[in-house]
Parts: sequence; C-alpha cells; structure tokens
Amino acid sequence: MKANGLNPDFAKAIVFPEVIRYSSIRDKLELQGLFTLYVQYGERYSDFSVGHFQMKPSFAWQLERDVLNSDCRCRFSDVIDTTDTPAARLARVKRLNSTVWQVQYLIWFVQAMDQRYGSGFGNDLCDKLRFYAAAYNCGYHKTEEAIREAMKRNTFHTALFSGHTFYNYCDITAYYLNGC
Amino acid sequence: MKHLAFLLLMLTGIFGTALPQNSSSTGSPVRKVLATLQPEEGILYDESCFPLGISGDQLYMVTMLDGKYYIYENGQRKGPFDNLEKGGYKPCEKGSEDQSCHVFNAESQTGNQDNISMSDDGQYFIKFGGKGFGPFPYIKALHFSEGKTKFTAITMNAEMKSYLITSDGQQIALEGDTESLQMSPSGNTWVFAVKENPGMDPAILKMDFSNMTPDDMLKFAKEQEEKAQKAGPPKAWIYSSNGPKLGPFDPGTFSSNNPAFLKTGGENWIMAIDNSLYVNGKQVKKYEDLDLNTCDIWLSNDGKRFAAASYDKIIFSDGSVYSYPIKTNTIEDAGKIIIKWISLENEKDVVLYSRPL
Repeated sequence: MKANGLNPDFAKAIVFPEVIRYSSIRDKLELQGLFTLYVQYGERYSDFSVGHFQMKPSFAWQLERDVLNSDCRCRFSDVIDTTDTPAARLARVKRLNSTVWQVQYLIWFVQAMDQRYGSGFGNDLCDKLRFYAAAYNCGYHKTEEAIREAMKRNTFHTALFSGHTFYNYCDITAYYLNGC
Repeated sequence: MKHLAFLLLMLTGIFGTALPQNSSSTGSPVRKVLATLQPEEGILYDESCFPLGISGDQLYMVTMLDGKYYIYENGQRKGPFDNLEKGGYKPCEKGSEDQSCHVFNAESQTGNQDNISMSDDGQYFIKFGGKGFGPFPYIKALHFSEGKTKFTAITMNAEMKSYLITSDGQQIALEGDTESLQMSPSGNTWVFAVKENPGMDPAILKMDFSNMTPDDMLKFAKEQEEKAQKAGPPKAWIYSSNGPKLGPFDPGTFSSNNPAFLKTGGENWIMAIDNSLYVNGKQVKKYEDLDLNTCDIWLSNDGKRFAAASYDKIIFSDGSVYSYPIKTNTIEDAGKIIIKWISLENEKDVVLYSRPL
C-alpha cells in the first residue's frame, strides 16, 4: 500500500466490514460450483463474493479493464487477460483466491477512486472514507449521486445469507478508522 | 482397427488432453440429464442441493426466471413462486457426502478424558491397554486405530521439542514444528510434516531476560539473527509409518490438508507439491494445466488409480478429461470407487455423470 502512495489504514477501513463477514462464512459455503459456473459461463450466470475482502469477479474484471485502459502502461498488461473467455475467467478466479491479488485489486480500487474523486474531499478524510466504502460496497462505476445515496442505506449484514439485522457499511468503516 | 486407433491417438495429440464430454480411454461414463432449464433460467446455487450419494441422485434445485422462483424436486418443476417460502423451500441438509473437501480428517483424541489422564504434578499420560504411557508435559495430537489396537501421538517436552510416540515403542525426536498428524480411516497408517524452525532456539524459553542489560539483549538478538541466517531457509520433512523420512521440501508446501489421507484411498496417503501428485511419497503425476488441491483428489483403495478436479475440469489417471464439474463426490459400490459429478451443459442441461475411478 505504502509503496503505491496509499494510506494502509484508510484502505483497510474500506474492507473491514467484509473481513468480519468473511470470518463467519468462509468455511460454510462451498464455492467450487460457483467458481465452475463463472469460469464456464461468466458473470451473467454466477457472480459471487470471494476471499477476505469479499470481491466479486465482476468487480475485479471492471478494475482490470480500467487499469489496462489507463495510461499506466503497467507491467500487468502481460499478466491480465480482460477478454470474456473461460481461460481469462479461470485466471481471474485464481487471482481472487489469492490474498496478494485481493490486496492488489484493493490498491487499484483506491487509485481508481482517487483519480475520479480524490481532489473533491479536501482534508475531510472521514467523508472520503464513507464515500469510498459505499462505492466499494455498491459499485464504484455508479454515479456520484447513486454512491451518495448508498451511503445512507443500511444494507450490510453478517449472516450467512440475508440476516434480520442490517447495518450501515460506511458506519462500520468509520468506526474502524480512528477519529471518524 | 489399428488405423482407427492411430487416428484417435493423432486427434488426441492434436487437441491435447481436452477430450470432449463422454470420452474416456477406458469407457464412457454413465450420463443422465436430471433437468433441463428454460432459456434465461438460472440456478440459485446456494439454495440448491446436489446430493450425489448412492440413493440421492434426485437433485433439489432452486432456479429463478423473470424474477420468479422455481423448485425442482423429485423430477418435477414447481412454480413460479414470488418467494421461496410460498414454494415450501427446504434448506439443504449438509451431510457428510456434501462436504466440499474429500480429505479424511480423523479427530485427535487429546480432549477425550477416557484416553488421557493427568498426574498431580500436571503431567499427561496416554491410557492404552490398561497402562499409562508417559509422562508428557504436553500431548499435541493423539490418534487410535480401529478397535484401539494401536495409538500414535505427537508430544512435546518442557523445551517445546516434539516427539513422535507410538504404542509399539517408537520415540522419534522431531526437528521442528509438526503440522497436524494425519491418520488413515482405519487408523493403521500415519503421516505428517515437520517444519524446521531455525529462528526458534528452545533454550530461549528457559532464559531469564530480567537480568540482562539492553546491550546484552541487543548482542543476544544479533547472535540469534546470525544463527538463523547461517541455517539458511527453513526446510520441511515428511514422516510416515509406511516409508522413510522424505525431504527436504519447502515448508510453505504443507498445510493441515497436505499431506493427507483421503476418504477413498485406504491406507495410501497423498501430497501435492508444485502441481505434482505424490502417492505414498512417490511422484505419480505432474499436472501442467490443473491447480492441484488435495481436497479435490480421489484415490483408489490400492493407490493406483486417481482423479483430480479443478474449476474447469476433472482429470482421471487414465488420461480422460471431463469439463466443468459443478459438484463432485464418490460412492463405493461392490468395492469400486465411483466418482459422480454434475455439470451444466449448453447453459440448460443439468447432467449427472458417474464412472469408476
């Protein structure tokens, strides 16, 4: 994180609620079939949250395309295939199974958000965190208005499937980062 | 006939190992379409059950089409339902056949008072055959064979040094930390990995740091660091009851499921290293295009035939390859291991396959 000029505590706060949820479900869901359906037919058929940061293949794919379309001309262009083929999807699933790659996707997410919105927050780190967290939870390609709307909603639960108690994702991230 | 066989060989060579569904060099699997989905109808995987037991091939599947739910049960499709409660949805019962990992994990008996006693001074004894084996300051793992005719244990002394202890009198000092002790389903065979820990000097545990000056502590820390550097990268070794000590290996290779016994496979143990499959310590197959995971490997009772699955294929030891198994499991029928798996073909056919290992 630091090597990429990012604040590790800020990034950790964004995914903190997902880490809580992952701990409760990691051994209970059998993901093999979902992985297989995704590799075979793509996200239209199967798009599920995976790993410590509960990232969906569709989220990873969007980030990959954004990174490779950006001006970075980065080393990842030789590694990542963004076509919608079984081989590319299989490679993506393998990446999502790796904690190292989940961190890399998180770095790309924060960088993508910084590029779009970073200058608009001034010194208000807490508002920035809530906004980034909402975007992480509901989809960072949504409009600013839609993300702001998502910040108000209590849709996050820690049950295996849909629970009875719902929390505000942004409140949990703010709780994690001291001072917010 | 020879020409035909040659042609098939040529085609196999040209197209690699990716044989089409239903192909097998030793015989085709039995194929049965369990259900056919409507266009745009999708399976709700988490709500669906794919029991693959000997009497449970009738799937219970929940699907969604145009925002409505459908339930497939006993060969019939019911619905549409606005919600699953209206359709009488029944959550899957997760039996042993539904477990996603096919490694056999015997439960250690260290928590069972029937098998362990403690002396007044806090030392442990293993109760076996009317006698007490010990004393041990700590018993890390303890397993009994079927009928409790043998036991195998990992113990530690006060210096945290590990020992293998067996009921037939073996006591082997182990140079490092042990991963979980793995036993065959019968309890007669065992295997485990030992990871060297050169950075950890057991003598440290007995040292009194309170009398050290900051300079002494700094000097001591430097000595320990040099010692660790001299020792080089840590190594790991495999100990088993049916072969010599093996290694050295990269310690990162091993985990609580590797090496392992399988639910099939009898007394034979496996390990996966760099996508190579080892049976009883001998390399039997190097996979080039499959990520080997001990949870998705099946082995015959004699240890000679095997299969391995990943997200996109299942490969048998005879070279047969089948695509996209959503769910896999095994049953034993008249001494034969039968592998069953479900695939979704052409985005509509839910197909059950089965074939002997």
